[in-house]
Amino acid sequence: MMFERFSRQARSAVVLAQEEARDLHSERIKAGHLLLALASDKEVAAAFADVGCEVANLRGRVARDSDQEFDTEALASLGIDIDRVRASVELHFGEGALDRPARRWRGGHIPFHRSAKKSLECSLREAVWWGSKDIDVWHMLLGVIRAEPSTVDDLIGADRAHERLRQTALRKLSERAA
Amino acid sequence: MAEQWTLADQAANPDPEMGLRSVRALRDLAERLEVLQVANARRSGWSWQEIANVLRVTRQAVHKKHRDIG
Repeated sequence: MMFERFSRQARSAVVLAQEEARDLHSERIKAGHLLLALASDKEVAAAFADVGCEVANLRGRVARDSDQEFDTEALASLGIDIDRVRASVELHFGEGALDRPARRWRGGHIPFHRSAKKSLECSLREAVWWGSKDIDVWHMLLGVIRAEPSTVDDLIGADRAHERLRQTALRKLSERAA
Repeated sequence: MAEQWTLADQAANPDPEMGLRSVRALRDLAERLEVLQVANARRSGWSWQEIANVLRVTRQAVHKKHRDIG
């Protein structure tokens, strides 16, 4: 991809998205993991809070949206806590033992889901449109909104959240340009 | 106790969606655990026949499925 154009914050957001995906045992990095990573930026977190979304709630919804190998919710409905199973298995068989072997061999590298790929492509387009040589967190937020507006509404958990967040991002970028 | 209630409730969950999902989730988990435990048994020197006896399948079945473990 085009990571050389990413600003330091945006680059760390991509790295964080990968860590979020790993922590949530997702088989792919999805648009939701990017949102979660962007929320580690104080200003973005404040923008999310303005539309009524706290990071902890966002993480819960992203977890449910993650492509997990195991259906955590269904197992929980049977009284099985997959995290406890995982901890016990890892105690005896090593870290990541319960993960699909293919993923362990790849050394923990998690591929991008098409929702995240499209979001990053749109981020680049936003940066170009704004005449910026770097992609920063607001370009990325606009990119995710452009690529996955209804996912943003679902994960942020507010009606028309993507529209309100778009306004905030546009304002931030305009202030910066001025 | 709470967990037992959940199990009792959900084992006969009348919602087909959640009922079927719980069946598949158990199967996925059992599959992963089987791979780990068969490999562990082999490392501990168990024969394919001994493993098959405990899993209640034929020696051929367990060997065919897991022979790449060694």
